Amino acid sequence: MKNFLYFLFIAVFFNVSLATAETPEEKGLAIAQEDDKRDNGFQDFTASMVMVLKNRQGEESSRNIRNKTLEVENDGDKSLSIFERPRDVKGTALLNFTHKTGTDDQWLYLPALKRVKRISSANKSGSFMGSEFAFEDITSQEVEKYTYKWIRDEEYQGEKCFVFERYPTYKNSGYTRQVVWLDQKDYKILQIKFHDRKDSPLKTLTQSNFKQYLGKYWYPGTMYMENHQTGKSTLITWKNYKFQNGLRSKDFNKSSLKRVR
Amino acid sequence: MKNLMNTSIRYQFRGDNDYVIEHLTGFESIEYSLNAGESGGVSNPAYLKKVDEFAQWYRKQPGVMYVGTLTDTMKRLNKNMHGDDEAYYRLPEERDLSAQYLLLYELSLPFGLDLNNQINIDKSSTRFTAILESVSTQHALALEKRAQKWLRENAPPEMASHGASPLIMFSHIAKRNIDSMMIGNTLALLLISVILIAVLRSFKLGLISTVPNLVPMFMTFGLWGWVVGEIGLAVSVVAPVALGIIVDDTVHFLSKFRRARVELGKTTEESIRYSFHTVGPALFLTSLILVCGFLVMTFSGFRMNVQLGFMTTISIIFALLADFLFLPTLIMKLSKPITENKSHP
Repeated sequence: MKNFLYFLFIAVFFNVSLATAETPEEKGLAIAQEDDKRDNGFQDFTASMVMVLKNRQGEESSRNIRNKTLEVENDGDKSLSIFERPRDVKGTALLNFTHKTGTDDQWLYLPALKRVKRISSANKSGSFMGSEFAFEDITSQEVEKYTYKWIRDEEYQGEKCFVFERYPTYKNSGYTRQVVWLDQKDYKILQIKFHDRKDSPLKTLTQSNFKQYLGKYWYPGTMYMENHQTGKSTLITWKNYKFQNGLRSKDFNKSSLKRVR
Repeated sequence: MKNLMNTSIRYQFRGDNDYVIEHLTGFESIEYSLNAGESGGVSNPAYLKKVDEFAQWYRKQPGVMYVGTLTDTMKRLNKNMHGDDEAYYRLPEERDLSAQYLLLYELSLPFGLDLNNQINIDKSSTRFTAILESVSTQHALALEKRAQKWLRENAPPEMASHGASPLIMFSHIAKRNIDSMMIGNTLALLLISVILIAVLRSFKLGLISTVPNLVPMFMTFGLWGWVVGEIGLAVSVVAPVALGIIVDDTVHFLSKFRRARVELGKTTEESIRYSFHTVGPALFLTSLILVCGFLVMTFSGFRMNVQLGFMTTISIIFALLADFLFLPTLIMKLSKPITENKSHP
């Protein structure tokens, strides 16, 4: 009887520990899924952003853009970016359909020509408007776009964070991996370090000035991307977030591109 | 042996280089940064038109293989956006249309590329690239000068700019080198003559020494000019290098001559014979050895070394001939009047 009890104890003990042990890959995926869950349900939002590009010599150039984003069920978000400044490109609009897998769809409206041009989206790795943000950085991050691996927990900027790596599934991605610092309380992305196709450190994204909207969603007020290889940087400042404006799909199609102002 | 002399075959790099120049493009370029004068000014139709005019002028210049500017991209975009209609292969006339084309172009670039290698971040300047055939440094500098003149006369003042490129840099370096070599050589020669006058304690002898020092150089360059006709960085270096070796021969011959004349009291002819006996074989042997050494350089795959080897060999041979054939007769010819004076030290 005693032997049996010992055996039972050992069996239960091992079973329990086996049941709670997660591989780092599973843990990473779980974190990403939780993050995605917390981000869902906002329906739509509008915001305006100022993007300042700086080169190694300190020379600057800035652009003002208004942004509308629509959440799409079971797929990536749709977004419409309207350029306000510089004056020569005012009224130019970029329509972007993100897809969970495969290439995104993009269209650009040129008001001077009154024509909509489809853009080749094999260029997701290309830079957005000459900035250090690639298209694949700013389009909505869906869980299926990466595979994951949790690395460690760490304190960063006074907040306890998950540090995990994610590996793009997109074949033509400009990155081999990204290392993400996600705070454990609110699942805000505080920092991402990007590694290029040679697996050398390429860029670092720092997000700050987070505000909570609708009592649930945390959005950054400031995004700073620095390219360590070229010395160039881009600073994006977001303002006037407005949620649940009642936007619908028909506000995000080619004809709505032309009507935009 | 033929293959040994053909550097295209000996060196993969050279062969590839030549192939590219013959079939694809050139390696020499001149680059300009053309300023529009204001932020975003590259979209200004007047500016684009000026850049295009400059490009067209440049293309007509001899030795220019290709000119690349933003205006070519603009024209192509205009054509593409109008259903590839050839009639639209021209610059847009509205400023905002140009700016929007640039935006479209920027949004379509693949990873790692941006427009910053053609347009600065402020969009106030574009890069203008002219690719040249293999031209001489003289040709390149002249072309650059003409281009600057065109810009001064035809373009607004803010667009004026210097051409820049390794070719321009090396052309200026070569020119500067050659100019200062000329001065340096002359100075060296003067100094050597002065020192020889002091050492030989004879004005006449010192002056006579300049002849076998100079003549070999003149003859070498003369021969080179006749056979090859072009001087570059390598050849201009030969003069000072060879001068050192040439002066050696003269000094040995003349110092022995002086000893015979002054210390041993011999006649001019006897002194010359004395010099031949004492240093003649040594002069011959050292010249032979040096010639063999420098001839080895002519097997090099690097043209500068080949030229240096050839030129120095020729000048050493001429130096020996000058010292053996010319100098003695010159001394005899000029010594007659001073024979009586010089017999007493």
